[in-house]
Amino acid sequence: MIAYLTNCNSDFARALRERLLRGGHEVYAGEALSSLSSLDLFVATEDERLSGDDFTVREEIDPEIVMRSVEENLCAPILALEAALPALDKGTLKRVCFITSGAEASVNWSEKTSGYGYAMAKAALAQAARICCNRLYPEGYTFRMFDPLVGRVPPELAAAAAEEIFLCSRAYDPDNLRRTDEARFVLRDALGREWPW
Amino acid sequence: MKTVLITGADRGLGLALAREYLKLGYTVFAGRFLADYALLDDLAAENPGRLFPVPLDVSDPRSIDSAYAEVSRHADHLDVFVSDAAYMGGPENSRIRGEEKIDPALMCKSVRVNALGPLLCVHRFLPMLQAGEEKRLCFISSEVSSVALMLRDGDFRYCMSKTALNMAVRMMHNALFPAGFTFRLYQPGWMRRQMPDGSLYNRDDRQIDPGFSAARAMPVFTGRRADEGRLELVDYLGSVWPF
Ligand SMILES: NC(=O)c1ccc[n+]([C@@H]2O[C@H](COP(=O)([O-])OP(=O)(O)OC[C@H]3O[C@@H](n4cnc5c(N)ncnc54)[C@H](OP(=O)(O)O)[C@@H]3O)[C@@H](O)[C@H]2O)c1
Repeated sequence: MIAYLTNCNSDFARALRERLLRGGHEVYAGEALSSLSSLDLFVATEDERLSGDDFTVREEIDPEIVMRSVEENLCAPILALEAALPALDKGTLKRVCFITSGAEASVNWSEKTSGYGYAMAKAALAQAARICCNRLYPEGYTFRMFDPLVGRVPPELAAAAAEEIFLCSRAYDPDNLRRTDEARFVLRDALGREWPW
Repeated sequence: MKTVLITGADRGLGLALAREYLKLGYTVFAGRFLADYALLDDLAAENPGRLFPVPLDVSDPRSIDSAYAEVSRHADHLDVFVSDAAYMGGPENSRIRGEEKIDPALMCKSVRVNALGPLLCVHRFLPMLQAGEEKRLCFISSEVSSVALMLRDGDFRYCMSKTALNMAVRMMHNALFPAGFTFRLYQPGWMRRQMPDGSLYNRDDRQIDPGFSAARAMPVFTGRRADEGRLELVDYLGSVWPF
């Protein structure tokens, strides 16, 4: 299987790369995309908590930090998916994965009062990814939104969970296509828990 | 004196909400953004000393500062803030497998105006809102902000910016509800577009008038709930949407 990680900047992304390599997969990252003729697993690893993105609504807000977070956590992964589509079209797995955070980017669950740039960008990423999924699922594409629980679960363990979640198929009932878990767009974390949007 | 600031009030829902708040006796500060719309001037002329058009580009901190200076010349507090301004743009450039490539600059613009703008406004006007009695913050979102019920397969730019808005509102709620503020997230329905002469452009018979949606919003915006700690996205029919 051929895997592509948009970057290996985080401990989690590096651990995932190691893990996939040990599993015998071909793993590429960053610039290598243009040289790939086919691709099975796409992982947008962008997960940038920028320094300065820590104000509350009561404190001075730096709009440019918010917008940089939007560029890095939202635009970059979506543009990377667009760029990877020709190779994914030729692959067999057609699996698209994004990294996010339940505690920070779930509108339902967030208890945060700071980190606006990250949270807004990742909440928007969920919606953009969902709409891309709606478009691509009928073509055989499947999506994963994954929370590596940075700071709570060691990167190696998060990578092990990610490998399982990214590569395994989800429940599928051939007699009733509505009873297929792949048709649900969900966010799961490194402990296997599902987060609401 | 009860006071309200409404962003994006040149036309459409924002203008209709200004009318509703005037009916309730509020002094209205109406954010002005469009050069070619004079509907706000007409409303100001009909309501001397009660409706003040205020130039306001919610995506520009300097414009928000100027608006703050202007509003504080007339009032020492704000009871209600209503975020209505939004950049919709066309559906182009935000579609996977679209005819055109996805344009990151337009993605950024949508978030900057529709999600960051309301946050910047609340931050800047917080001292005046803190001094207000009602402490009510209202945000116009949309049904397309809901990830759980999203069925579209293209044009994600506007939709995702409203999801980002919901997130910002959740975080403001986390910080400000304990300080006595209450919040409204409103999905106004599919509305007709208002033209410079005040007429409404009808693209589809299922569209509703902004005035109708504004009238439906008022009980939501002015009412008190027993469970204000619960943030909900409610529509013009009173139904609650999941995030
Ligand atoms: N119309 C619908 O069917 C519908 C459905 C769901 C939700 N909504 C939401 O309901 C609200 C009102 O909608 P509407 O139909 O009344 O829209 P509208 O007539 O387009 O009013 C929104 C106004 O905000 C202005 N605006 C854009 N950027 C701004 C900025 N940076 N600062 C201040 N103002 C800015 C727009 O100007 P420009 O036209 O020049 O951009 C427009 O005049 C919006 O929040 C919209 O997202 C609308």
